Amino acid sequence: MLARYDTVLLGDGGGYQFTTSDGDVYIAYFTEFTLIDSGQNEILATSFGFANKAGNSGHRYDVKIKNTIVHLIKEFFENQDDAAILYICINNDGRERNRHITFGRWFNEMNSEFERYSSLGEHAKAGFYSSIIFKSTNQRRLKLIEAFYFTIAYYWGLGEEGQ
Amino acid sequence: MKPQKENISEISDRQDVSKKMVNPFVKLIKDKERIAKAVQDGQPLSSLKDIKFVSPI
Repeated sequence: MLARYDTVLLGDGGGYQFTTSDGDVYIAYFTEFTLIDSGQNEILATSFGFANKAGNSGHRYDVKIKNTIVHLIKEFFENQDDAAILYICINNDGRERNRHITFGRWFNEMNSEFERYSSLGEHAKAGFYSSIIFKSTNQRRLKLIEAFYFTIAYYWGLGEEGQ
Repeated sequence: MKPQKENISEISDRQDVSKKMVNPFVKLIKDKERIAKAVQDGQPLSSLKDIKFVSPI
């Protein structure tokens, strides 16, 4: 088993907390995310994110942080074969591309049980990076792929209210 | 084919979608910023209204 940090489920059920050997406290969380497909159906997915209390991306590379995040994602899928996790890299510090690449590398280190689809190059040029991952056996697989890209295209360039 | 009831709901037309849903990507970006600030401030995530957290188990 890969070395990772112990995680504690938050009392309010909103996510997990773990503390690194440097004392940085991280919160990993899952929230609801609704995709739409071309047939105007709402497709429920789950977004994943994490943040640390220091508000930075870490002082040094720590493989145990990666292992802990990957463990939490895999654990999420253990009893949810048809779940899907969406991840988005926000462009608040100009490092969104790096985070997207890092997340992709982490995904590649997961086993082939999962598939990942990412937003397109035209979106990256505008600083938007997002991916969706799910098990290859997911019965909603094709619907999730179609809805992921349709939702991005549908709302691309639109404001908060989708208008 | 009838969609899975618990995961998919039918919506009448395209215009209705935009009326019923805010841009989910914009909302997610804002949610992530609010969550990051709450984590930095030591606030419980449950105090963040209109963010639907999913229990990981």
